[in-house]
Amino acid sequence: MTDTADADSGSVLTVEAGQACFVYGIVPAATRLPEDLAGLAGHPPQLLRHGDVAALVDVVDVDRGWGTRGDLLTYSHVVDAVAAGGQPVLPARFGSVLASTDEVTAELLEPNHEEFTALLDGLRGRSQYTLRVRYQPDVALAEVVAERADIAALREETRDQPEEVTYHARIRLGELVSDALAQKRSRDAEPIIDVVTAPAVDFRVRELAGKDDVVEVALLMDQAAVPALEKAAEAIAEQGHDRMRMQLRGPSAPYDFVPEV
Amino acid sequence: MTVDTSESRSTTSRRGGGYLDRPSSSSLADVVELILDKGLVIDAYVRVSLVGIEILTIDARIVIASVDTYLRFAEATNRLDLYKQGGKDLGDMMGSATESTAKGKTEGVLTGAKNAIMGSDDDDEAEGHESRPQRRPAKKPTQRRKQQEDA
Repeated sequence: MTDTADADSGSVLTVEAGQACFVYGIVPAATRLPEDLAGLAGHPPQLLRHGDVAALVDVVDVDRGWGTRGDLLTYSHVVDAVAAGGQPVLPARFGSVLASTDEVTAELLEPNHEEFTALLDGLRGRSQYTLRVRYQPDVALAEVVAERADIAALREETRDQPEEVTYHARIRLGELVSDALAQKRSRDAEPIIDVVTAPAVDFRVRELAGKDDVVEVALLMDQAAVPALEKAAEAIAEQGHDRMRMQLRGPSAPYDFVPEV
Repeated sequence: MTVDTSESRSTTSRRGGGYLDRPSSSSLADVVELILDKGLVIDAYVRVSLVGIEILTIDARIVIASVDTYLRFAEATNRLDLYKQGGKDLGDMMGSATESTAKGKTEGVLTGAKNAIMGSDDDDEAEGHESRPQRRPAKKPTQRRKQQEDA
């Protein structure tokens, strides 16, 4: 790596043959990066500025073998670190790469300058928190078997039989269980969603369908409202702890609140 | 696959003695869940692909309402030890919340997909998580799943 970029002058970034410009996200031009932030190139990422906005980038080797766990964690660590510092960031989808710094400016920053500026303004002082609620292992399944005579009967009919003999009965059982879990999930999720989204600026409910899933909701939070969210989430976690477990992650970059440009 | 050197960021800690889990940092499974298919799409401008990166743009979401999935739900239901479930006291429940080591095949659906993406050395982190495709369907089932269905 021979680029000699410094954080105050993106134009010094050099992209050589076999290299490309990895875009972490879009930030305000005045963004101050956390010190000792390690990017994908092994040193702090660079700001490529254009007007009021900047692309957070690194010059990377194209063929070094991508998509490892470390790459993903590094990418998210970089954008989350900016967000955790209270500065707005529009994360770019992991793996967004342009051929040169000129292209980043000419094709990404310049044509979208006004939209990026407006979006970043809307994110100022805000970050994403994500609440994940799951049933205690197998609790929902056990409830479904206990509540539904038809499911219990099919279960008895199929459980000790050879799979070939009960193929269709097992498909029917699975279908009934899948539907019953979906109903249970939605009954349990609704009051939780009501409570935790109240202090949020915006939210997105992610649909889940695993046997222990209840709900996952991404919340765009004003910094000042985070304690209210934590308190509300703690209260429902305590209330439902015999059946469910809840995890609140954040602050992170607002991955779920980036519109398609 | 290279060995992840960021393991130190993957630890989880709990704040206070509350019931709400507040991990201070993200595991790989959390990160994948959080960022997969998320973020500003600037594909239209991308002129370069990183070697190996295309595997991450493959939509790993798996269509849930399929025969295969029903069979997995059925198996999980049949495997269920009702006596054990009924006999669990509160202490056991809380213990299982933090352990969660027994993973059924139902949970393994997307775990399998994640492993295909990330390598299989993160089983401890990759808690089962399946999402319905919301905007677009899975592009195609993986070869492995096809073979299973044909078998």
